[in-house]
Amino acid sequence: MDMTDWPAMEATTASCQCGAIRMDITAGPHRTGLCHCRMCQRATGGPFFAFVTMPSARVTTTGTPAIFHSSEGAERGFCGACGSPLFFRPRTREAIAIAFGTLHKDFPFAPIRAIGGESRCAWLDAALDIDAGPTTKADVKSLQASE
Amino acid sequence: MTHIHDLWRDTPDTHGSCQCGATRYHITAGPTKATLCHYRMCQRATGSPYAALLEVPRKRITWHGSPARYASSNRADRGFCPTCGTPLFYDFHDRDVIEVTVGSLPAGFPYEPRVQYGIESRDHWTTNLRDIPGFETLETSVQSNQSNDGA
Repeated sequence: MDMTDWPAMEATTASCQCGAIRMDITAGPHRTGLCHCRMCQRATGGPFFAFVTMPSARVTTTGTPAIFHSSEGAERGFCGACGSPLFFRPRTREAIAIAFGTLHKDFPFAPIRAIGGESRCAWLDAALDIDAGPTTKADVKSLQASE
Repeated sequence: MTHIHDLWRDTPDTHGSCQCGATRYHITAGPTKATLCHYRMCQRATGSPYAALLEVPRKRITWHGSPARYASSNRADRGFCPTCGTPLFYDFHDRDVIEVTVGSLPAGFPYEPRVQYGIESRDHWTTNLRDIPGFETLETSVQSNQSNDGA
């Protein structure tokens, strides 16, 4: 695996919602990206898969992820207890792409490239302009009362 | 100020499913509400920077298969396919609506989010999506990813 142009990252952790699966990642080269392909949309239930790729040998997993073979070439891991999508991994298992949402909240994520452009959601650009405010107790109350 | 009821729009009859097809649903035509949630729990639940959801009255959705449920708080469950892991819905215990994930809807579904929640945990990079170089999936990319970095 040629990682000559990959930037370095510090050691970090990742986990699912319920904490049954934890991944400890050591420092070293990594690459960030987004994939808009239809399989990644299905796998995350979202518009794209945001990921951090590194050699699998740098990841120590605690707990046993459920595995789905999404194609002949790759598998996807998720937590069987809470359903959090965890990673995409080629069947060679040489590298692993960890799902952004499982990473520690302070991980300095900045995607540098995107793939799967053929199925990129058209609404993504417009979504940037939607007015938004922080979640407040009043918002929650009004939503509950009006629906 | 936009009234909350203005956020509902008519959408067509549609079918959704997980990756493997074990868990599917049908939604009849009628008003739905498309929302984004950047809340930390939604990030964890989808492994993503935000959850993109479609709110549907519960009586208009029919399930086929048995989604697994995780009680992510004392107010709501999150549903996913127990076979392939696709996140499928967010379900408030005390409301007559259910929110399905956009990734489980068909590719051509007219999804147009009108409001965002949980903005306190929005990731700054999601506001720069226009500027990130993008590429279509090529057969050579797939081959190189399979033998290379898995991205």
